[in-house]
Amino acid sequence: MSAIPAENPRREVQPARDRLAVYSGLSIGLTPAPLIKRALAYVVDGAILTGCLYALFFLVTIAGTITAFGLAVVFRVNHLATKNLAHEILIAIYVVTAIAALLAIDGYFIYFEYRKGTTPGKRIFGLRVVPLGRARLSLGQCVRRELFRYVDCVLIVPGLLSVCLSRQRQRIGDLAAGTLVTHSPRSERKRDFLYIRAEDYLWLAESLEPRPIPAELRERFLRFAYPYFVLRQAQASPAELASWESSLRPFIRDPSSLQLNQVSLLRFLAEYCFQTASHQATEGS
Amino acid sequence: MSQNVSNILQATASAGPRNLDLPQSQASTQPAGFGVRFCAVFVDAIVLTLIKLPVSIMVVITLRLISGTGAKPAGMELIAERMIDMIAFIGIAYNYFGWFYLNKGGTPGKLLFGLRVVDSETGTHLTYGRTFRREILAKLVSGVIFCIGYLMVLFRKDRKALHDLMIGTQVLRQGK
Repeated sequence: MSAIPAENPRREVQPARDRLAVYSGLSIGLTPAPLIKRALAYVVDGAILTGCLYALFFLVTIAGTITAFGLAVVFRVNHLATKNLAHEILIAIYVVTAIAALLAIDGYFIYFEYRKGTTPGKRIFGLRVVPLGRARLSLGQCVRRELFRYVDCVLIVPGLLSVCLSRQRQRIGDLAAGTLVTHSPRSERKRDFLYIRAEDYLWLAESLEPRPIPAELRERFLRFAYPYFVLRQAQASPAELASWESSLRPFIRDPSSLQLNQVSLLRFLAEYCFQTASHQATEGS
Repeated sequence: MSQNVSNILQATASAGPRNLDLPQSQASTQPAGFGVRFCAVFVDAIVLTLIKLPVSIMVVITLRLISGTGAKPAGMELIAERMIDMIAFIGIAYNYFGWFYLNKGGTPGKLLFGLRVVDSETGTHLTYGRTFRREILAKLVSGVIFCIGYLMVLFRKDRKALHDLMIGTQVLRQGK
């Protein structure tokens, strides 16, 4: 996080490219969202919507056909026109459903962004929609953001251009609504942890500074730890737990100052083994 | 099982050593049932189709520009076009599945429903090679035998499908 520059505080400071300015002149250190993640989040949201609308259209086709023919039979003018009337009613039903579907698509995004700040697709990737100059998103901002989605996401090129060129990686909807999409690696990682909470893991890793554990030991330990801690299907005697603790203790700093329970320490070690084994492609914290 | 519980209870009851809270994921991590897995696969299929579509279109456009004829190709050219399309798709699928399975434990469809694909013995995420074998090859087998490989999830206590058994994986669900 960078501090407010001391010289010339009234002149508007241009923020660095990788830091977003939420209030003008003040850089709060939010990281902008990578375009790939935004695109994938949108694809996932689109997939959810497509799935739901597919099911909806399927149901509407069945129910609508029955209703259309039923109504046509009830309200028939003369015997020959029943089929035509049914078709017209069915077309009317489809039109109404299509309009409702478009409204539902907008409503999905507006609902989630207004109430929670993220949609399920964005949440997987740790993205948030953040308003500029305000504490919370207003409904007007959400609506404006969504209306311009027709421009950004349907005709893809203007949206891509604006994301690449704008200083804060905003698409046209973001520019119109005054919002940003930020990426928080910590919330993205939050769901990654299996044995222990993310917050606890972070401070434990800082205090204990674990060193890389040889693969063979790591795998043996995980073969014990996974059924014991996660599946809760294994038994372990206190002697066994103590032997694991003693064989893994050389790889961390002395934990006695933290006053940790043996079970918690083993869970932290299991999480460390799990993280190093599972994220070999990206060697990150 | 009871010794497990008593261990944990004993640990939480003691006032001295600090015991950390369980993560939400561990509150009840159990094998995932058929319904959730089906929904996840449904969403994944749509995501893959949406990703595949631009690539297919580009492949087709490129090939037709190269071949010079504006008309729809037939015979050998059509076969070549389809093969290149499939190769491109497998390449994308390898990277897409591989990255997501290694780094996040599952494709976005699975993540949406809180599912996680892990090795059934060590609980770690799958590598690129294993993911490829599971998704492309083992699922092919599961599907070819009239999807019995998938339906096995309904009938097994450990909720494993045929492709899970072949590769040695498990799909967990993180409940509240």
